[in-house]
Amino acid sequence: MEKMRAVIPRLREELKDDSTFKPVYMFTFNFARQENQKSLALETAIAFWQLLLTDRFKHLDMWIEFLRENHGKAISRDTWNLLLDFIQTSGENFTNYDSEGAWPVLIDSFVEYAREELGVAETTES
Amino acid sequence: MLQTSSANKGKAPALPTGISGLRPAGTPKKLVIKAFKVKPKLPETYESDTWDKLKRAVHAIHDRRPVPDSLEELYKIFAAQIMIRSIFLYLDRTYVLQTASLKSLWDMGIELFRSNIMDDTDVRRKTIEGILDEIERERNGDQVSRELLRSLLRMFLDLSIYLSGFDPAFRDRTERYYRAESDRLVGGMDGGVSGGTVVARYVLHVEARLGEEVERCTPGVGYLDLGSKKGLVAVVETELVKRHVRVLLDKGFAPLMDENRMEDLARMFDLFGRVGGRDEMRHKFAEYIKKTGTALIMDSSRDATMVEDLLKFKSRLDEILAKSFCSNEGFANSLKESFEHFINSRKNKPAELIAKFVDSKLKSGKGVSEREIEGLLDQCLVLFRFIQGKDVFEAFYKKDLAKRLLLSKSASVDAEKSMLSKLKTECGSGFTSKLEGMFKDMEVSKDFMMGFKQSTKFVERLGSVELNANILTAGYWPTYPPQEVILPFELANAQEVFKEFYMQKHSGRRLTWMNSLGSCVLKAEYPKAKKELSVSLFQAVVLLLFNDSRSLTYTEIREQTSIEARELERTLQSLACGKLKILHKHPKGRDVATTDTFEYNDAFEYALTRIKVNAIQLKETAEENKGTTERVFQDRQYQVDAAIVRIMKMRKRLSHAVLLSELFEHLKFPIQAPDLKKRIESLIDREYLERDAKDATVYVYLA
Repeated sequence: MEKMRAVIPRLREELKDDSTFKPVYMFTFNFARQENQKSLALETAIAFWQLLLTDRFKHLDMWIEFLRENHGKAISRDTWNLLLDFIQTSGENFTNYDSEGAWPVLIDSFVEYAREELGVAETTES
Repeated sequence: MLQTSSANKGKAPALPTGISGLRPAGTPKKLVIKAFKVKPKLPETYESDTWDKLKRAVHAIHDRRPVPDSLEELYKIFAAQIMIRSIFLYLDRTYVLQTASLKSLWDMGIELFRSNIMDDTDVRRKTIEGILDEIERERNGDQVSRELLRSLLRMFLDLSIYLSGFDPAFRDRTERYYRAESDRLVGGMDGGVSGGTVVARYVLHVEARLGEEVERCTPGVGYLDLGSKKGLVAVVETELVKRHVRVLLDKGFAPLMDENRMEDLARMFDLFGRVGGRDEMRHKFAEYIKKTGTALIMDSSRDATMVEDLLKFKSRLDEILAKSFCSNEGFANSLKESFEHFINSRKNKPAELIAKFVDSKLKSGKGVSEREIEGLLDQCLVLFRFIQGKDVFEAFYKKDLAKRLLLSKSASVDAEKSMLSKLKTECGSGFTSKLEGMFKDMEVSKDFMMGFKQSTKFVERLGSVELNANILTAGYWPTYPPQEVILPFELANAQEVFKEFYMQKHSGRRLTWMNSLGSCVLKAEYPKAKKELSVSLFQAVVLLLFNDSRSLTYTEIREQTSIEARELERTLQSLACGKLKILHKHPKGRDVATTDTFEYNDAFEYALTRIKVNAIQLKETAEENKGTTERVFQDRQYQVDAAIVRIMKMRKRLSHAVLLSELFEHLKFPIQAPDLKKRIESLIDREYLERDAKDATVYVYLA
């Protein structure tokens, strides 16, 4: 038991590394969902996101609020997976986010929502 | 006093030498010139007099005396040159000509004149300005001496300073004059009067001015040299028109279009063409069509007449295009593009309305000639061509066609077939194959029924019921939701008998009765008269219940017929709440409530023997329409899914951008990128595709 406790700080450190974090994050989806379901129930997803992403995702709270208000449905694997990519690539105010790109529609809607909440305008490419 | 030689026009100048009168022709005579016996004495003071006169004239110009006078004086001096030349013609022609170093008297005179008088900048400037002032007065409407101007300008020409000296100043002044005028006129255009009238008036004014200026350059009538014309016209056009093209279009184009003022538009078209303003006019044209058209389309309160309004709009534009814009190709293209643009700005509704319009024309009975119908159908096709979501049209057209065929509402089979072949030419046989199938089904059914009626074995089992069945091939016809109903014995029996007969011939097939499409003719015996009621199947089923009971509650009817609630309400309403009260409803009212009771009305009266009560089947409910549109969208979703799978199967891996561009190319109906994304995500979820592990923007086909 003691040994396990001792390992925890080290594991926490390891998680900070992006390359270790990613597989853990991806795995969580399967781990968290119910046996016969394809998607992850919303509240479960939110709980796990809070666990995993609190320090990594500045707009986590807004994301959760957005989902509760506008989506209300289960989360697909695709959305779960791509959220990580999204966090890692989009700028603080989503200035380089391309809504014409291959992002899931849910994330497109979130960016629109967030931009309004933050009062940030879209930048147009010159 | 010397006289100008103009007095001697046409005659040989008088030679003041002592030549005797000419001998009559015949004998060549030796011409002897004798010197004057007495030297003709010029007035003593001639030289000083002339010089004085010159001086005075020049001073007059300097002093800016009334211009005509001083100009005339100047001209007189100049004209004197001609006089001098005439006098010394002989000298000029012989001695001077032979001596190369000497200029001719004329040239010398001219040069002297030029160098002593006209080269004086002041004199020249004032002369020119004087002339220009006269021209301006004439432009302002006053009368001026054209003769004088003509002479003066000819003088300039002769002095070779017309093009270098006069013309530039003239053009400059013209430019300033017309700039001021046009600024004034155009600036003052906001007023009470309609923009169209104001602009049209201005255009006429411009035409008048151009005419004036050209006249000024016309030999004989005007006074300017012909060489000035081109530059002059260009200046006028630039100042009066080119600089104001935008403003004139903004103020006047739309009102002129609205008021259909084709002549004025034609004038504008011509005028603007001269200054390269046609392109802007074309943009305005496109803008006008888009704006007016969009307002028309978006106004849902005008839905009932929308198609007619659109047809009227189109034909008005076509007329203007032909009469005012000379059927210009650029304008014609703009018309097409703009029409396509605004007609598609409201999704689906125009397609639906056009289908309905065609339906109403194919249903109409009397009063419309075949040729009129043909004409209208052709016009509808023109509109149809502009629509981007043609599958919506097809769905509505099919639905309406089915009703027309099944309820025998077609006015003319020829018209129907004609419309079909038009659609085929327009969209290909894929579009019309199902519709053609529907027609075929009707014909096959007719033949089949003949066979049925001839088989006495089956017919006698029908009892007193006469049956007519239409056999529909499911794939061709619109889908109808199955409607449950408990049929009275006679009708159920009839169905069974027919089914048996059919199965004999086509054992492998499956027959399903579409009760919502059925109709009946009931023979009713009223105390006053016998009537035939033409009703829908559901109406018949309800009415037949009253053979056994005089009065029934809603609930009882519901139980005994098993007709779905909303449908039952509609049916009862049509029997008890309309103009024809086949049943009485208690309590009275327009709407049917579940607590109502219904009673057979044996006091029912009507003028005709045959009565149609089944009108409700023909009317569409708003629900039906929504349902049709939704089915089209569902269908589109399937098509998108199928297309994505097909493309991915072929290409195996594809980036997001390329996949989208391929889809836009393949799909024949309008669709947005977000909708396509949704389908892609759905397919990822269903594991037809996945994202590439390394690059989330690339999709991979999952076999």
